[in-house]
Amino acid sequence: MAKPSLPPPLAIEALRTRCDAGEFSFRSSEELEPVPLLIGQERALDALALGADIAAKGFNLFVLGPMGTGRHSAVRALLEERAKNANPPADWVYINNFDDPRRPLAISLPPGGATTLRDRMTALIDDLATEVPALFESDDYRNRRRAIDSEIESAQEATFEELKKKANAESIGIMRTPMGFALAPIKNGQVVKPEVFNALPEDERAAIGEKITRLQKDLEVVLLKMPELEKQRRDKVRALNAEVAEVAIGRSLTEVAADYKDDEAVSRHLESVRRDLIDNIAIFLKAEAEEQETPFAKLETSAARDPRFRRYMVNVMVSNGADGDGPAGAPIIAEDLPTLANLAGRAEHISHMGTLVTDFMLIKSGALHRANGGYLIIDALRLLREPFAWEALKRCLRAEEVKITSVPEEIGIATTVSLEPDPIPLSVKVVLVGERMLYYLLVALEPDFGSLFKIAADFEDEVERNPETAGLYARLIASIAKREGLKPLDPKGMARMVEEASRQAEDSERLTLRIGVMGEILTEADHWAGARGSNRIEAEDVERAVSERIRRSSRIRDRSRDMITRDIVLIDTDGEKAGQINGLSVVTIGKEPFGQPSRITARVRTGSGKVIDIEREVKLGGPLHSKGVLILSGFLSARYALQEPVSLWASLVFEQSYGGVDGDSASSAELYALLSALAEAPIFQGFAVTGSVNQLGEVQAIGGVNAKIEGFFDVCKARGLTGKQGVLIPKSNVKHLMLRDDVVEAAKKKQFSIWPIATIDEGIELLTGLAAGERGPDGRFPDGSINARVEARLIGFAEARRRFGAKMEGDESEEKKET
Amino acid sequence: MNLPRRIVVMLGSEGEAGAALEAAAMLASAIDARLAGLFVEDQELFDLAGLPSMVAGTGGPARLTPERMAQALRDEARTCQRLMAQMAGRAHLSFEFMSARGDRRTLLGEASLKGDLVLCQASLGGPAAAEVAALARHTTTAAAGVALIGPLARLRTGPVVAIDDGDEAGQQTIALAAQLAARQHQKLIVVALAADQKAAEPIIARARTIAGHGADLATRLLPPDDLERLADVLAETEPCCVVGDLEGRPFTDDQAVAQAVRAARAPLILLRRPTM
Repeated sequence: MAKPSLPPPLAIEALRTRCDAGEFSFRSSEELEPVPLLIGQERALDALALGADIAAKGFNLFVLGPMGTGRHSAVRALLEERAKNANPPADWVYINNFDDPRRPLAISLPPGGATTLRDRMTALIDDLATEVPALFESDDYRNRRRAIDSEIESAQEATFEELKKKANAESIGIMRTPMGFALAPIKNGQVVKPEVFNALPEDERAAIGEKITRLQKDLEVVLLKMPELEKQRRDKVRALNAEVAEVAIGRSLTEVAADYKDDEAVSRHLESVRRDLIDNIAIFLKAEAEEQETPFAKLETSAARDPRFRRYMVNVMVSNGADGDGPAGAPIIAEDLPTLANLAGRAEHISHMGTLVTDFMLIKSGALHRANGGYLIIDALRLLREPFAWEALKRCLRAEEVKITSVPEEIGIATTVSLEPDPIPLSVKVVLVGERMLYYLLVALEPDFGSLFKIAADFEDEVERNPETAGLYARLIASIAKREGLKPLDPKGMARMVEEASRQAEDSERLTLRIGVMGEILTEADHWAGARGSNRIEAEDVERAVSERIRRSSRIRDRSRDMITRDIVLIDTDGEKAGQINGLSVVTIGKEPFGQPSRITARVRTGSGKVIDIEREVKLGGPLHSKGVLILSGFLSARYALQEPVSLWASLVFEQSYGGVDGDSASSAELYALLSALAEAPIFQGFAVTGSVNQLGEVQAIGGVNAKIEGFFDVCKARGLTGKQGVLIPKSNVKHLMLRDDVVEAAKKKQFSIWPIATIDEGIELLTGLAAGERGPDGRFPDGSINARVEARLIGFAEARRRFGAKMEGDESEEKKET
Repeated sequence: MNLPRRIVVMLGSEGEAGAALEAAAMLASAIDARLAGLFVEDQELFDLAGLPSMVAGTGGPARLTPERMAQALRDEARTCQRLMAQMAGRAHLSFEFMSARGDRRTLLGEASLKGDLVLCQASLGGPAAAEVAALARHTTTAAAGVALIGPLARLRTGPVVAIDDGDEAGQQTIALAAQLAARQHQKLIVVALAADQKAAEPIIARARTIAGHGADLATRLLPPDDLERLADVLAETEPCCVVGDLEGRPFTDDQAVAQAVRAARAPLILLRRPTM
């Protein structure tokens, strides 16, 4: 059989698509105009713009895409552009509800108005704290107060004295005993002794008794009158205090009320404050009295800090606008810890005499409050991780109001009395940022998601590489350098960055949009340029940054390679063997995945048609790997010895693999090993193979082609390149090649080669050096071809099985005859 | 001048012991004196109980018996003793407590020793301020002075008022008043009973000397024959206590004493002139 004509290895140009620095017209990247946002993200940016501009309910955004694509920066920049021209939203405050302190009232004020109102009320109380005690210390008040006391006390004394006189006139005295007041006959101001009394004539004793009985009634009337007089005193004092308070409070409050006469809610509140102050004016006097009792010097602190005056204060929840605490324009809030409390606010408690208490001043705003009227950016995964946060956000968006609840209230176990503040109307644009998988899971499984987050901004991973986009990319890199304060790049340095962008995209026709990684490389390149004493980043700096990154992550890779070169893990890179081939896999540990060869072996014999995947049998094989093995079984069954029952028993294994395998990228290698075993045609061990196969024998694209090639190259290089080594890759993966320079260099020197393979027949010819063979019109493969040898072997297995079956039947019938 | 070393508080069945004990503790603390409580089981109450009497109390009328009276007085005495212990403890004062049955005048006279200050309280429905003043004045001839509490007095902060007519006894009046004012960090107001400013000058000068240069001192002028105004002055100044001369103007008259007690609404301390 004539040797097959083997396909040539790939041209050098195909191994790595260079970026020509000559295509750049700048001398330093400083000259390049920065890009305002991102490149290649038109779809996502248009969606962001639409979502930000639509005010209708439910048009919140989900920004999806992989990390490092600049999602957060793009969102921020776009929102800032819109927010700065927007009107700042209203301020919100909580005030005491004097009718029901458990239900604090919310008031909306113009931007900057919240802090003004708070300060006015603080100043008001401070003023009253000085004015009110002064009024109550005034001569006028004291005189009037003394007059009331004197009037009542005189009345009290006079009432008693009158009765005493009346009693004394009848020789009856009033005495105060521990049990109360008593009446007794007296003589010369002394109580008549019992023996003297008893010695009196009966009619005299009776007369005394009658007087006492009569005076007893008068005494009871007097005793009843005492509390009435005391009540009169209290009422008069209260009326006097109210009159005096009205003077002080009315004057101060009127000034404040005049500024809010057009605000109904504030006016109503000020009226409530006025009424409460008058009813409780004594708190100002108590505060003053306690200050006077201390021997320490009077400290000049605001009376508003006194707990007694808390209920007149104003709790500023949100303050917007240039006059307030917030920036001008609409707010943009990014909540990094989206717990229930951080999102929707909370009512804090303080410990007081062994119990927890709260009031409206302890209500704290959440991100929703602060973002009200603007934008709220949240990381989706963090949000979903926080208990009850997602439910709270949905509830607030649906109801268009922020209602403060606590975790015990959410799960229905709240037993302590807490606050029920007025909910605050909500108008906010929420932007969730997350991975794609999370978005699709939410769409599929969360019924409310679609109605609340109608806009998806899908960020691309990569952009097509062409001269135009390469230029844009250069501007993007230049923007990053400028923004991060890094050195500018020269054209070669920029070209190297563009090439790296393709390598990161694992596609020579694409540039990665994971600018996070590119930014890291650029930062490291900046460092190496500085270490060199250069004020520009050049190609060698970028190269060094890339190689250092790989080196930092290469400990496991190097250990793995050592185990091969030291023959602990058996991998042949020379010679030939039947039923054995080098497969390739990618190990993903840490930031830098790497490729490594694995020995795949196949063994065959007569059997019942089963191809055993040993990895699957011991549960080390994932479903995709199992699928690949079943596909190659299908290929065999459909191509060879179609008139015969499949009588093959085969086993396939990844030798010395103990950690589990998945994916079907080695299925072509497994098929080659199987064909080699069946045809008893040795495979050259200087080759490694990657590519999945379908039932038609077509070799299909796989991932990680660069890492796989480089993994085998490193092993061959460590042992010494022979010039006869290389890797077979799917033809459809050629466009993904962005190999390292040393691999390209070795290929240039013909020390290492890469072959593109489209079919199994092409591959087996290269691996064995024998023609695959095509079935002729007579239905037979050419003699000596791989396919003919495989078919002959399978037919042989079928015949052997038939013979074994006949023998079994014969043996059985003989046994029957004997019995 | 020798300040009183012991304050004897007369307690009885009138209730309102708290106000009296509070005032006594305040005074004792200011002049570093001891406290002594004398609970008088007034014999008249037992006589009363022996008669067919009824008491009119907050629980309605109830019949009195000597046994009930004795028990009630014992309970009252225990209450007073506990209250005294509390007040003395708070003020870090040593105290003693006596309980005796008999006539108030006699018992008070026996209990008070030379140098004591006797404190008595008038009560609403009980002995009036004038009665108490007479009791204190004529019974306690050995005592250094008397302190009288009115029926509706409340302990309060305010200046110490000293009433001085310029005689020799005024020296101890001012000395005591100055000590009380200094200890309580209050102002000392000297009411000079003098016809005019010129006559008042020696009184004021003496007061300044006794009180010391750093004292917070104010003065008022009051003509000695315009004692109606004294009540106004006392009411207006709202003192924490008033100090005067038991045997000098205007307190030679028990009614005047009662009027001053009522107007000041604070303890009125009247010092007996020291015997040679």
